[in-house]
Amino acid sequence: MSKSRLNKKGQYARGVVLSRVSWTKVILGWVMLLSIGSSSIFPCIALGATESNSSNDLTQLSLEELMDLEVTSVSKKKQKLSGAAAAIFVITQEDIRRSGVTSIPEALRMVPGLQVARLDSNKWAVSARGFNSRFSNKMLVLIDGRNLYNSFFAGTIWEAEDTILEDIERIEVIRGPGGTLWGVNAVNGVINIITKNAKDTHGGLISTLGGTEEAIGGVRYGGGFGQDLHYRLFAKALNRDTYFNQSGAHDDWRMLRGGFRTDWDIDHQNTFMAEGAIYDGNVGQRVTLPTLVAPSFSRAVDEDIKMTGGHILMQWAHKVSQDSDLALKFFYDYSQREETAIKTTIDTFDFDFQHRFALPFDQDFVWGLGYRYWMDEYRTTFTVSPSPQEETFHLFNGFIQDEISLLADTVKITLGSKLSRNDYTGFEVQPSGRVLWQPVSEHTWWLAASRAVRVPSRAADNGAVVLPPNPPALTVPVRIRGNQRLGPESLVALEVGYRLAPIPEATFDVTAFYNLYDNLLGTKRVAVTPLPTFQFVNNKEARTHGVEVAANVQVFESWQIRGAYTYLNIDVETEAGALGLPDVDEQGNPHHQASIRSLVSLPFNVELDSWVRYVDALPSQSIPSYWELDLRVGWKPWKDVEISLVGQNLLDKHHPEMASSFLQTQATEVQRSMYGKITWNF
Amino acid sequence: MLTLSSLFRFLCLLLGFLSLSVGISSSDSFAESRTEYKLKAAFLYHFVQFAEWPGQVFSQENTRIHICNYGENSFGGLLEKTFEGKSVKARRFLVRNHTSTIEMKDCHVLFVNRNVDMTKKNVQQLLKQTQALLVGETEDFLEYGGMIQFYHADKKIRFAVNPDALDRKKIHLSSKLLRLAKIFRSE
Repeated sequence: MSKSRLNKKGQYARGVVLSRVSWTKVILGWVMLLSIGSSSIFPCIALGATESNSSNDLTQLSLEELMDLEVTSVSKKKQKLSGAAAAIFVITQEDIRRSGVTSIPEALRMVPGLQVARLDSNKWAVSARGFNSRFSNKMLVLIDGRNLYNSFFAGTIWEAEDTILEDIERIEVIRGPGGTLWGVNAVNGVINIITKNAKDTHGGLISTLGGTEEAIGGVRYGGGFGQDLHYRLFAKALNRDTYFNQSGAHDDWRMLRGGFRTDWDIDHQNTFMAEGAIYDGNVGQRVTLPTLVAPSFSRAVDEDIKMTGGHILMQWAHKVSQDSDLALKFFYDYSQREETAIKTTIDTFDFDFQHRFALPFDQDFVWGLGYRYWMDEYRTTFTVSPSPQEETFHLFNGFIQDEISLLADTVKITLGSKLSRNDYTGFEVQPSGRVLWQPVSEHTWWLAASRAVRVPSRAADNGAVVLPPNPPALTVPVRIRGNQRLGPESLVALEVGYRLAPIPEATFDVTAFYNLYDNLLGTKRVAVTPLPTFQFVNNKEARTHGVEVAANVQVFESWQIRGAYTYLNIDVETEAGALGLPDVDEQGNPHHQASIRSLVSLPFNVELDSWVRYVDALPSQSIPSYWELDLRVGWKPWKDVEISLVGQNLLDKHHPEMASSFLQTQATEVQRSMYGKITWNF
Repeated sequence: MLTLSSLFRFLCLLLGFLSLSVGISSSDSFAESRTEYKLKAAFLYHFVQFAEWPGQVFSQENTRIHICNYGENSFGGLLEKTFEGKSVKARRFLVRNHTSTIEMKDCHVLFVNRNVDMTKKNVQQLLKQTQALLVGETEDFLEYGGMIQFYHADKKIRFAVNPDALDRKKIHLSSKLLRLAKIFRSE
């Protein structure tokens, strides 16, 4: 360890010689990592430390520029948006507030490269770069680091997750694989929802919203004990009305939720965070269930799904030095669901460890290990009867990543790999390589190649589902069996991106990708009697490509325009005679999507915001293309009070966004709605 | 189910990683990123450029500007690196680290780390001992008589200035600097 020391003459004596030998240490480090990869035990070597020659002298910046730099966050190296070699889009709290959305999935409609559809009042389909359905399984969603992965179908139960929207700090969306270090199903992207530090939510907040489709009330109170320990408590109730269907609908729902978050700065090296919540809801649906009674072999049931759950998450972060930190995270999540077809409880335990440090020559190294364990129980119903009824599952995760900065920080190379081991498919390696070139701060180019896999869900491994008949093709119920010999779905993704920031008032971001999928999940007919029976098999290949554009222009100080455009094309090799799965469908995702938001700040604390969206048709589901418009007027009569009036989906009395999928719950059409909202901070 | 070979592979990984990390984390200063204290060091550099001390503070033409860091060193060498080889109005710098309040008399800038307990009494004690521009990062630092205080807003570093405290020591800060600062007034 060489530190700058003043000698007697007041000159600086520095360890320059040491830094010359550090290349050998870099190489040594890599050799070591590679040999670990090939599973040989390597003797422990302590790498010596040297001081690197720092090229970026911050004193060259003006004070104004200094004040505009973000501080590296504690647990992970925080990158400015323009410095990331991945397709990133960030939804800020301000975006959420001014868009007038009342749920998290709705906010995601502004993100290029995401497909968002509302199947009914309480069910959403969200995916990145295609393969969208209610059971989208190629997307990883995190809230404060808690993985929302549902082990049964490997997707996200959006209706079960919520919080006070005002307490969300930002939502980071990364399209494409390898943008994340964790996760076995972050194949097409990651949605990372980050709530505010309890330090930033002192005081009370009451938020009430009432309108034609919903009524929502939220209360939060936060405070602190001294300067270092902060907390907040919240409760939220929501009641949403049915949407439209010609034959009537039963998708109204109610949800109650309460939770807390504490942040404790133990000392300047250690921080501790704990958060938790519980929820309880009655979520309505009309579902068509299979029966063995002719002639229809099905019956429609109006029911309320009883959903209950909770979680607790704890995270400890330790700052070893300015350039090194550790984080240890644990969470436990419980969920219970009761409906006619599915009766299940799932307990999930998850431990993650992460360590970041700098290596000589501007290298930033991060690695981590994780272990997840879940146990579930399914009470057999005619529709869903996995075998065994109870199962435990282990997932081991690891990752390594090295970011190397070259040529005075103008080039960054990121090499890394996820490593995982699971009970269904064994050991998986998911490497990725990224290059970023930022010749000047206005222009950023990046290129990435990654491999990613998706591990089969419990349903695909050993589930058994009976689907109601789907005339005219099928006039009797159909059975789909799991397959314990399934391999992982795999993807090789190529991405290229360019970001332009000619002036601070305008940014432009374009990404293109080409994805090659192999071993995608399909079905194969294995029996005809007593019921036509299919089995899950890895029999599909797909190629997708697309372009995603995001632009942001500050026309005047008081007027901002934010746009997004998405082009997506999917080619799937399908086989005749197989039962199609809804998500692997060439025509099941929009080719074109666009979103333009205008945010105007007027005198007297009045805001006028509008949002126009276009979503292309889904021919295979007979869903036409649609345009929609949201308008919001906000007014702050006093500093702590905000009143807003919002109209959503104003262009149509009602419009469908997606057809009923796999489990045949009735799809309803999103209705035009109006609401008023008062937010009071005290 | 877990096979022995894959378990073995995982253990190898774990062992390898741990050995690597233990080796590395035992030494602390590597290639820096834009960390909080690197930024703060740059801020301090700017403060000096915009500050004027009363004449008697610099005894000679070539007296160096003494940048003093008080408390457990959060900069870890960054302060030295920031000021190395630079000068303001032909004066070069001398960076000093103090863990106690002795011999602070000739400091020109005194940065107090947040790990030092900055009670009102302690701040007043420092003000008695030195003519320095007193910069801190703890809450209430200005209220207790400090001159500049760093704080965080939106993950960015901001600073607040206490003009009364500056006046008392006859240190003048340029309006260019004050324009960017939050101004503190004691009630």
